[in-house]
Amino acid sequence: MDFSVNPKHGDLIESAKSISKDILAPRAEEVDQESKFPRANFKDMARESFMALTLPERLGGRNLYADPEAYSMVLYELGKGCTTTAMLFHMHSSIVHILTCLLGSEEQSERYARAVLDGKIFASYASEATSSLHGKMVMDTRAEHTDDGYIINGKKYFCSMAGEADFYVLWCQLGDEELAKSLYLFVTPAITPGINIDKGWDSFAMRGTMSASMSFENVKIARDDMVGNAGDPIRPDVLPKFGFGYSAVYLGAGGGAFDWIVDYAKKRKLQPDNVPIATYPPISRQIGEMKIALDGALLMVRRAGWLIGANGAEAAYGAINEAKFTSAETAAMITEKAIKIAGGSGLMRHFPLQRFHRDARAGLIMPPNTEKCLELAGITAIKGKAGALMT
Amino acid sequence: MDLTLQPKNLALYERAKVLSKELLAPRARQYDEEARFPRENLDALAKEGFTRLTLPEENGGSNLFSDPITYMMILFELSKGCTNTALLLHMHNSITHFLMTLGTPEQRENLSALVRDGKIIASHGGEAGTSTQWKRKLDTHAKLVGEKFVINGRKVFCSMAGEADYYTLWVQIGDDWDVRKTMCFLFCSADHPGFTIDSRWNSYALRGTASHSLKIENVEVSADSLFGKGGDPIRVDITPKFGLGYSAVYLGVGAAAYEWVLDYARNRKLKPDNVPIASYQPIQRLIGEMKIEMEKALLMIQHAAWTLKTFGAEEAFPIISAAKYTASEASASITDKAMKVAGGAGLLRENPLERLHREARSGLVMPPNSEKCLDSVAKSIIEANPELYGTP
Repeated sequence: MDFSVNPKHGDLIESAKSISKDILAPRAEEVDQESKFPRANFKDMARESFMALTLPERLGGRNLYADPEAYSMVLYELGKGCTTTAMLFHMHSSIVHILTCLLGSEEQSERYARAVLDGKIFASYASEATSSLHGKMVMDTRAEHTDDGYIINGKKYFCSMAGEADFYVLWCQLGDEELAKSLYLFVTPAITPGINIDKGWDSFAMRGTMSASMSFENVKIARDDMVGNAGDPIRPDVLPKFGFGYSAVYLGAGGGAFDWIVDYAKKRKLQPDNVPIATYPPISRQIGEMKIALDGALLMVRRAGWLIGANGAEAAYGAINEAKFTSAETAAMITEKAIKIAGGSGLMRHFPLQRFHRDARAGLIMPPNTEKCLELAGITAIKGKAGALMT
Repeated sequence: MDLTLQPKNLALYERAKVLSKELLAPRARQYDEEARFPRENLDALAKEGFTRLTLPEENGGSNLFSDPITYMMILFELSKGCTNTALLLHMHNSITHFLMTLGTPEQRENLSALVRDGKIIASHGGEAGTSTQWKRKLDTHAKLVGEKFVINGRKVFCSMAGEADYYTLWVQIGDDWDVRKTMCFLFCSADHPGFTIDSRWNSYALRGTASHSLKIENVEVSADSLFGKGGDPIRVDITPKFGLGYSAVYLGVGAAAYEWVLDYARNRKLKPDNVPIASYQPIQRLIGEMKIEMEKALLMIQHAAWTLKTFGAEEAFPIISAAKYTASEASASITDKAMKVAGGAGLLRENPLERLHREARSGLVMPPNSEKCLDSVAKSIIEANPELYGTP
C-alpha cells in the first residue's frame, strides 16, 4: 500500500496549487458577484498548458485522465481557489479526453487537439428538462441525416459556458431506438447559426458557470463532426468519470473554507481574553472535526481515482458514488461550521466563506446528487458487485 | 496511490479472515454472555502464529509492526469475528513489540522464547482517576532493594488480569514526579502471590477482556525485569501505536454489524410485499450510508498506518487520532443504523447486533477517546508545523 501521489504528476499538483492561490482565488469574488465567465483564468491556465492536460501525449498533452487520482488532486486544488473555474476546467478537460482519447477517430482527435492547443474551450451539453439519462427515452435534442452531414433541433438545460465556450459538444439522439443504440456526440463551433440562448443563468451558486438554457434550430453539423458510435456517451467506462471529477471540485469548496477559517481562528482575538479564538475548546473541537472530515473525503476521492485507474470506471462505480457523497456532504458540513466559527464575518461578501457555502450547496445537487449516490452505493453493496450503471 | 496489501504478508491476512469466521465468530456470543476470557481463541491463535506477529523474524515472528497496514487489516478481520479476542491479541502483540524494542539482547532472547512458547503478555498502565500528565505521582511504585525491585500499588482496567502469563506494569521508580523521567516498564510473572484482583470486571461491553482491577503488594522481581529506562512507556514512538490498533479493532465491530445486517436485508421478506427488505429504498439508503462510513474509516486507518511506517509515530500522531475518531464514530453510527434496519431482530440476544452495538460504545471511550482525538487533531493544526500535518 502506498499513499503517495504518482511522482510523474507531482509537478502538476504543485502548479495547480500556485495557479489556485495566485490566479484563481483573487478573481473568485468578482466571478461570483458579477456572474462572470472566468475567461481570464482560462487564458492564464492555457499559458501554463493546463487546458491541454487531458490530451494524449502524442498530441501535445499529458494524458492526465490516465492517472485519475492526480487529476482529482489537480481539480481539488483549483477548487480551493475558485469552484466555478475548477468545475468548468473539469468539463472542458473531460470532454476533451472523451473526444481525443476515447471516441474520436485519428483525424478528429488531431483536429480537436489543435483547437485545444490553440486555447479553444470545449463545452458538453447533455441535460434536458425533467429527464434523466434512462435507457428508454425520447430526447428533445434530435439529429437527422442530411446530404452532407446532420442537422440538429432541440433544447438543452444547464449548458455550462453557454455563449462562452468555443465548441459545444451536443448529446443527441439519431433515430428512434433506445439511447444505447441512438445517442451520439456532435461537435459544433459555438458560432454556428441556429444556436440560441433562451434563458440566462442567475443562480444562488456557481454563478460564473453561465449554465444557461439553449435551443438549437436547424443547426448544421459537418459529417466528420459526429464522434464515436451509438451509445458511447453513456458507456460505463465514459460517463462515471464526470461524477468523479465533481467530487474533487466540490471538496475544493470545503478545502478553501477550511484553510480560510483556520487562518482566521488563529489570528482573531476577542476582548477581554485577547487570545486567538482557535484556543477556545469549542472552536478547536470543530476545527478537529473539519480537518478529519476533509482528510477522509480527500482519501475517498483519491481511492475512487486509484480504482478507476487500476480496474476501470465501471468497476469503480460504487467507489465513485461513495466519493461524491462524502465530498459533497463534507464540503456542505465544513462551510456550515466555518460560518459559525467566523460569526458575522462569515456573512460578509468581501470574505469568501459565504461563496464557498453557496457553492457547496450546488455540490449536493450536482449529478449524481447525494441521495442518488446513497441509493447507488446501497444497491451496489446489496448486489455485491460493481453494479450496472444503466438499469 | 496503491491500495493493495504487501504480497509478503498476504497469507497471514487471508488466514485471519478464515480464523475470524470459522473459529472466533461462533464463540463470540458465549464469551460475551458469560464474561469469560477467550482462552480457547488465544490458544488457537498462538498455535497459528498470531501471538508472534510482532516478534522479529530472527526470533521466530512475523515482524508485522514493520508492515502496520497488514497488521491493522488482520486486527480488523479478527475483530469482525470477536472483538474481545482481537483487542486482547493487539494488547499482547503491542506490548511484546515495545518490550522487544526496548530490551537488551538477553531480555529479548528470553522474552521471545516465552512468546514462542505461547505465553500471553498483558500490559497494565491505567490508574484510578488519572490521565497521563507529565507531573503526577503514580499509585504504583517500585523500589530497588538489593538485587530486586519491590512493587506496590494498584492498577485499573487491567485486561487479562488473572489470565495472562505475564504482566507488564507501568510503574514509577524514584521520587521524581515527572513521568517522562520515572515511568518504567517492569515485566512480572503473573503468578506472584502479591497480585490480587480487588474489583472484578463486570461491564456493559468487551465483557470477555477480564479487565479487573489489580492490587499489587510487595511483588518482587529481579533487577533485569526493567525494560528500557524512565519515560519509555510514554515515548511518542510507542503509545500512538496502541491507539491505531484500537481503531482497527473497533472498526471491526461496525464492519461485522454491516455484514450481518446486509445479509439479513437480502434475505428478510415481509408480507404482503414478499420481496427482500433490501429492495426498499429507505433500507438501500441506510446501507449506502453504512458502507460509505466504513470505507472512509478503513481508508483513514490504512493511511495512518502508512504514515506511521513512512514518517514515524510522531508525524503520524494526529493522523492516528483522526483514524481512531473516524473508526469509533463510524462503528457507533453503523451499529445504530444496523439495528434500525433489523428492527426487533436487532434487539434479540440470539443475534450479534446488540453485542456489537454495546462494543461500539466502548470504542468511543477507549483511549484516546473521541473527544481527545478531536483535540489532538485540532492542536496539530493550530499549534504545530503546518508543513508536517498538511493535507496529503
